Amino acid sequence: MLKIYLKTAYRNLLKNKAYAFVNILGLAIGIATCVLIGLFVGNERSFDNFVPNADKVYRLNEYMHYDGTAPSTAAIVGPPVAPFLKANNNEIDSYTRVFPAVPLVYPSVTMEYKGKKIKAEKLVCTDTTFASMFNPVMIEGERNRFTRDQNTIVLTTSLAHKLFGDSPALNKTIQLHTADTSVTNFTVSNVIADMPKNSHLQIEALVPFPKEFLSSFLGTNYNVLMGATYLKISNNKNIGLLENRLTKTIHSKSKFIDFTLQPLNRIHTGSVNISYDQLNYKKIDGKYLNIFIVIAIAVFLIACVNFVNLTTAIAGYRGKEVAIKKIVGARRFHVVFQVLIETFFSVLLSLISALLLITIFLPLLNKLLDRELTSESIYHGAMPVVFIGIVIGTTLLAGIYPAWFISRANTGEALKTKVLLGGSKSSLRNILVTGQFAIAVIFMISLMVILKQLKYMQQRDLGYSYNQVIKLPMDLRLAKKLQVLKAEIAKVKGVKDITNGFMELGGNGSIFGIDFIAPNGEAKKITVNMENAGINYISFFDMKIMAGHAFSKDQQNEYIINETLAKQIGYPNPVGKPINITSLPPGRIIGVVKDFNYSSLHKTIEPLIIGSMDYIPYWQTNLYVKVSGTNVSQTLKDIQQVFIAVSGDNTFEYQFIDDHFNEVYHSERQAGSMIAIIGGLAMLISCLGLLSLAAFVVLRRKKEIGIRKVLGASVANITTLLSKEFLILVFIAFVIASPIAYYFMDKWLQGFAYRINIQWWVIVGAGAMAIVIAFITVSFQSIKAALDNPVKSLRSE
Amino acid sequence: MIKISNLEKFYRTEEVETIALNKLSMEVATGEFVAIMGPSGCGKSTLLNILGMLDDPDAGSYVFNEIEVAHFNERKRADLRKHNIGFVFQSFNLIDELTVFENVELPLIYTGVAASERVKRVEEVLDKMQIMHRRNHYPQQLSGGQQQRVAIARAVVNKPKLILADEPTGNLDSSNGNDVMELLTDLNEQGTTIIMVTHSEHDARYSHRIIRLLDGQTVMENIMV
Repeated sequence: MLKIYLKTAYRNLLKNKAYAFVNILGLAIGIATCVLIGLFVGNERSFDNFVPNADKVYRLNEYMHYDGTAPSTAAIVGPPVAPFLKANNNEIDSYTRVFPAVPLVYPSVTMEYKGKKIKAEKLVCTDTTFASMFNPVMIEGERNRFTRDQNTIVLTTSLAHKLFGDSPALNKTIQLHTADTSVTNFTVSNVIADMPKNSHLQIEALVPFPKEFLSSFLGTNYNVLMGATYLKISNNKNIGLLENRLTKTIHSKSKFIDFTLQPLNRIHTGSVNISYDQLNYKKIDGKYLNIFIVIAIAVFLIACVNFVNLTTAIAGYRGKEVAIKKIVGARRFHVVFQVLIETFFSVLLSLISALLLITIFLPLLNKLLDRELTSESIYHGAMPVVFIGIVIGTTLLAGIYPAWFISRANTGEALKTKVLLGGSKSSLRNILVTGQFAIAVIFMISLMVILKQLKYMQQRDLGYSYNQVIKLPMDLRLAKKLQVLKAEIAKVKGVKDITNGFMELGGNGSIFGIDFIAPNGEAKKITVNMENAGINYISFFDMKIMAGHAFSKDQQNEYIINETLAKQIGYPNPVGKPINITSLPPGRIIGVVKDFNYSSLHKTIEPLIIGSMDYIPYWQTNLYVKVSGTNVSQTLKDIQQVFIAVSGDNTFEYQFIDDHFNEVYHSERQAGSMIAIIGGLAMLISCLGLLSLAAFVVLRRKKEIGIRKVLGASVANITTLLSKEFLILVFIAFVIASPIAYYFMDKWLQGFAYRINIQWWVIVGAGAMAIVIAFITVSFQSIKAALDNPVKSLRSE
Repeated sequence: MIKISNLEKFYRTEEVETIALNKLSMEVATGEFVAIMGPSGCGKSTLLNILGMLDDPDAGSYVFNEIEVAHFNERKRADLRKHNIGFVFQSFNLIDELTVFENVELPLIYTGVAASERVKRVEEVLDKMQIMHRRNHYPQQLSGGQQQRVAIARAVVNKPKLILADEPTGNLDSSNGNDVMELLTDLNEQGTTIIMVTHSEHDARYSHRIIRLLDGQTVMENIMV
């Protein structure tokens, strides 16, 4: 019995080759899209799940609510916070601090072994508990020596390999150049495997906190923002309560900070609005993951709808076969079973094609999403079960309706007409086509809105100009040589101007306290963002001074404030008024700069104070060089030469600020690309379905078309007649889709402080595009039918 | 074998009601060969569909082998049908996707005959119909006469008590048509009851009795001698 089912299935497939191809390809694209997105989302959700008892590990985030700037959450806290909290709260089992060693513990670090020098990029200071909290795989050395002794270092295998080649690293001594003159010997106590790719902590080397640092001004400062702190807690039942207790504890030290606890497994996907989060490797906006899941399911549904539609349409022409089978004794369930077997057969072929598509497109997806997903994982673990689930689920989803519909056919009737009427004129099918196109139109509208917003962000006047400006990050050592460096780079041909700064443009700002006298005579303290600028900063970035002037030659203790801060301070003209950064000598306001967007367009402009304190190298972290547009690569090479000559080591990093801003809007860009691709696929699958549906309608109306032509209908008449039916459906789809798309896109846009309005023509444009695409698709079939010789079609009736 | 009385069947569209069978009564005894004749639209096909339990009457009684089947549900009718009735159609109605052998095998599959037994019985009947050499061909590769022989093979493979033939020679030339009629006569002589709808007076002469229908009613019965 099964054999004959399979045989019929196979032969039916061959008989309807073209439709089978469309059917299988459409579903394959649907499955492949789903699996690819599933792989990606699965990977993102798997972050940090290798950590033992991950559900009890939390990152201690600091919620800062100073007067002045808007409150914000930082991923880092001060060095003494964790020991202090643990001493006062017995729910904390252990804590692990992971603090970048550069620049606050050591000004800079270069490792040296037998003359080989490597700049340590991802060196952190940590506690011995790191070994138990994050459970790194020990390759060499004993677990209990992990960062236990001063002047010992733990290396990852890659870094160990770079330093020592293939020979063991354990107990070897390396030199750490921590400043120009200071060299310390460190002994390798352990080698650990590289952190898993799905760890948010990608570090290369770990050292204990130096004793002298922990007792220094910074090491004992509760307010300073320095590094990440992780707590393992004994009971995670009521986190809110624990947060309150920790906050209460810290208020005895600082009343401006509260604590929030972020579950370890939410760090990767839930940290978009958290600042000072540089250690968070490839973090992603979890919101987009949800959107991706929704669109994957939508594409899959579209593919299933095609499947149902086409199977039902083909089924319409199987009336005779089904009738005969019933006459010779088939029961209804025989017919149902047969259709399900055939569906299963097609779904299986789709799955195989999908696996092929996945293998082909995974590298592209990796490139697009900046990941290293492998297709091997789709054959392991739970995935085969998932595939079986997909096959069975899709078979039922896509097969039940056609099976029900075919099997219910009246035998005598079907035998006479050979066509199952419902199959060629079904309201369910109209609903499905409409739904399918509604989804496609939602994609198109969303895509247009996202692209417009991205374009808006790129082209918006930020209030300053960074055209052809490159940024060169400096460490403390270099900052101390800033004047020499600037003078040498200025000599390079093609360099137009040069300045320096502290704040990350497009970043989160940097919070400092300021003191000033309010108009009512009251001495006030608020926090604002601070920039430590080169003397020519204002003209370099083409900023506009609204009152007063830019920095003078003798810029000591002169400050320029932005309009937002001027408003907060409250004077009609604040120029000349006293102001100072907390703990710095008193100064005065010399100018007000027009508000500029120094952060991303996600945020509104916050108060900003700009000083030019060239005596504080700690606050000179970026060198900005404006280059002329011609022969840029030679200019860059020359700058590199100068840079290396002055710094004395081999590293030279630079970035055009334009590129930097592209990174700032990375999430949006990724989402835009994903929606573009998936929306395109959704449209493609929908059109494939429409193409074959149209073919069936033409088949069904062959006689009618013949008669109409005999009676004098033109090709245009016939084409219109046949296309109209589908275009009405697409139009209804558009009417349904546009408010839905508008709602979601409006919500998405709320995430930007500066955003576009969704204009009516964007929506109408997307709808018109869908209708045109649908029309072209249907035209293929309808024009062909219209050009057919009517005698042929009438004779065959 | 068959006794119908006051059988009625209507076809309704939204506005018009057409009477296909109008209080029709007739009897067919086991072993008989009956021809049903009449102009187009007289209700022949409707009658055959009801006799074949493909359709149910709107009123009246239909007793098949002493069982009242007029109000059987689809499933019971299907059961009764597949064990007792074979069909032969004017347009053969073979499944294009199945070979000759598979077409004939189909009824045996649905009645749950074991595979080895099926092969034996299909070969036996194909042999009898002299179509064995075409067993692996598809219907569209056969001539009309050959296709109808396959259809008859399929109708008899289950050894039905009754064969319903709907213009079995309608699509055939006279030589092939005569062959088919000879086959049916043979089957009848071996004990199978046959009811045949036909337009052809020539074919009707093979039967024992002709029932003539007009507007859903019996208008005349001729007994053949």
